Amino acid sequence: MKQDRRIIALFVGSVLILGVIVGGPLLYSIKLSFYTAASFIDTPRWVGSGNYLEIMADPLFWGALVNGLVISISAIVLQVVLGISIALVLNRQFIGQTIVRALSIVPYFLPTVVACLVAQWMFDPNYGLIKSIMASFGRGMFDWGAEPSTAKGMVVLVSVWIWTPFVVTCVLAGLQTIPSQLYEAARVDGASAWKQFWHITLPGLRSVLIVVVLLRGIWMFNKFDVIWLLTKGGPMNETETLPTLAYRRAFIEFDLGAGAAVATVSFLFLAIVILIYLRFFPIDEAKQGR
Amino acid sequence: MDNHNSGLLKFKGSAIGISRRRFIKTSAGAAAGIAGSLAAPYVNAQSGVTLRFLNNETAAGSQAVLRDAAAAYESKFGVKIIIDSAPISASYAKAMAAINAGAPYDLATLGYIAHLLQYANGGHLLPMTDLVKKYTWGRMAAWTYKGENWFYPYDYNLVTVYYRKDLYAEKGLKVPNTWAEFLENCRALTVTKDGSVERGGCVIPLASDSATNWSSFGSLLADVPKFYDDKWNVTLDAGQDAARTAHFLDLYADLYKTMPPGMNTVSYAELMSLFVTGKVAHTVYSGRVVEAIEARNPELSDKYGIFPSPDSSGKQKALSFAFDGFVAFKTKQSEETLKFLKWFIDEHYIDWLHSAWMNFQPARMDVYDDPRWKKHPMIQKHWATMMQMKGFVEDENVRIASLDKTGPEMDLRPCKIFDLNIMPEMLQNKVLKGMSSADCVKTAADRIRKIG
Repeated sequence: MKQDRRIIALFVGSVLILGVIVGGPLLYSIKLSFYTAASFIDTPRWVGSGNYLEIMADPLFWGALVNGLVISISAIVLQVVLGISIALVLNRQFIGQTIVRALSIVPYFLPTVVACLVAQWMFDPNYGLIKSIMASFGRGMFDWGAEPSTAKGMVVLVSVWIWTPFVVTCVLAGLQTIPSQLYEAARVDGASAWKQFWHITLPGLRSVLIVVVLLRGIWMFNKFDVIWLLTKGGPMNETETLPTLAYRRAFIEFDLGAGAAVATVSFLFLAIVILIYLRFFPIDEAKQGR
Repeated sequence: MDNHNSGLLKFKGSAIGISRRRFIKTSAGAAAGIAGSLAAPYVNAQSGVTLRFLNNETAAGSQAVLRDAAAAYESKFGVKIIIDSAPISASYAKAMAAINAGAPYDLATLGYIAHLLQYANGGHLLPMTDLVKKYTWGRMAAWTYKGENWFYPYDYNLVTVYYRKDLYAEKGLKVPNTWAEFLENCRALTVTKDGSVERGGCVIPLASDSATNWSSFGSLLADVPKFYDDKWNVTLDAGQDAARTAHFLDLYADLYKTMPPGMNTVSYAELMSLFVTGKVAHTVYSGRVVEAIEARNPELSDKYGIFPSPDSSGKQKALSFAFDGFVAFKTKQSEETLKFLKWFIDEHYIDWLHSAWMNFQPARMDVYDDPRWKKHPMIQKHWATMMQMKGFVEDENVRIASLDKTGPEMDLRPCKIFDLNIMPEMLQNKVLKGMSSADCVKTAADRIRKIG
């Protein structure tokens, strides 16, 4: 009974803290989206749905939504494919396995700003390492920041570099929960490596992958730091996503209402996508299916 | 049922020998200590006055001057000055948060007209007209708004064109008087190798940021297109103004071919580093380039020169500029704030200017004759350049202008052109999207109209 009360108290405490930390700013942001203000010291003026109508009519908003989806999906696919591949290698016994496993998660420890600076210097079109390598082959350096596709590619590349170790770690943990007897039985039955992967490994990783894709999807869609540090949404807004657009509107253009409206729509969009995703890939059923 | 250890705190099931009472007493003591230390400024304020100064000049030298001045002022007058330094991008948000919290800073450095107008319109600033009136100021340095001076200027950030004198001599080039001559010089100094630009003719950025807004439009401003008429109607895409702006875009597209790659990600640091490392023959920046030359490549210190941006016909020149100054916020301590500022100007203004000896080009004209200021060894070394910069300020044929001050009067509308990166995106539309110059101008003008 006493323990129950403690549990209830801890639960209520947690909910209250979360309510204040997450719910408070969220509600404030939603409230702000119905007002217009030229700065944080300006008196906000009620505009109803005006900010929402304005952003919906802005091609930049739709461009940012599409850019966010393209960057997120590309990065997640690459991270998952690479993550599984690396985890499969690291799951095998070999000399130095522990050291290699430790090294493989180093990029995950790097502060994002450091990773982005390193990438910028490597790919700098005037001084960068890649420029020197290309020059040694008699080739000129491409200006990655000037082309929409290469600028997007750079954002995806850096995101994959930083976050693949997270996928590797999760998948590696998942691989170790798959009973080895299943592989032995498959080998006895003459199943090829591909068939073992397809019929044993992948189903065994289902629950892990559902969570990994969900988390990476949320984090990538809300990604701000990498894009801001590398391209600031350029060139020509081709790497602008909803988080950078919300920031730009609120903190550079000081159109606080429009910034809040972009953030609110982004939040609602993501919430709906997550609900649909979980409907198709329920986590509990995945566990039971194993 | 509690056992005899029930009053001890447990760690992983084992008692660690601290009673609850002792733990509570220790915690209370610690809390009181923390609360006491947090309340220190308040206690200090009881014994005298504490002023809070928000500084956005984050160079170590500038911060050191402020720290020394604060220490000297406290020992002389018993008034504590707390210096809070933050980059310009963060200081505006900090200042607004402080105002909203009901505890505005007492003083701040400020360098963007939009911020100043918002503070002034909100009634948050103290006028400084009396302080400013005591001196003679260079053109556009101590501008007024609603009949008052709201800031005490300390520098111009004039954007001059830096060029390599040695390369000019090598190729027999002259300082350009028109756009066409500037383009020819850039072409003549461009070196390519293996498909790469080894040395660019110039660097004039087109990124969507303040560096491009500030530095890239000197040549456009020299041709004086009007963005607005006298009633704030947008005229950029009409008649002569449209033609001049389109002509400038054609020039930019030609110059772009002489630039090294990466113009879309070039910001303040790269504008300097590309020139200092010899990667370009021209750059556009303020006096900080000279400081960078001395710090990183002193061999160039006698090989650079400056000139203002030419116009298309050779009749006029222009310098894009930004200002920097001190502002005082309205607080309960306004009298003490102004007293400190007056003391700082009398005692430490020159030290402050020395902390960025070339970038803090004096806006107050008497400073150029002040022996304390002149004795700085680097100012002496680059005296000819400094005098040339002063000459630009005094020469009526050199227009001093900026994108955020276009229009019939000081207003927030042109600041929005700056904030929304309308002009940098006009350059991007021209050279990255390949739009016609006329369409680029029309698109930019339509966006300006939307601002209202």
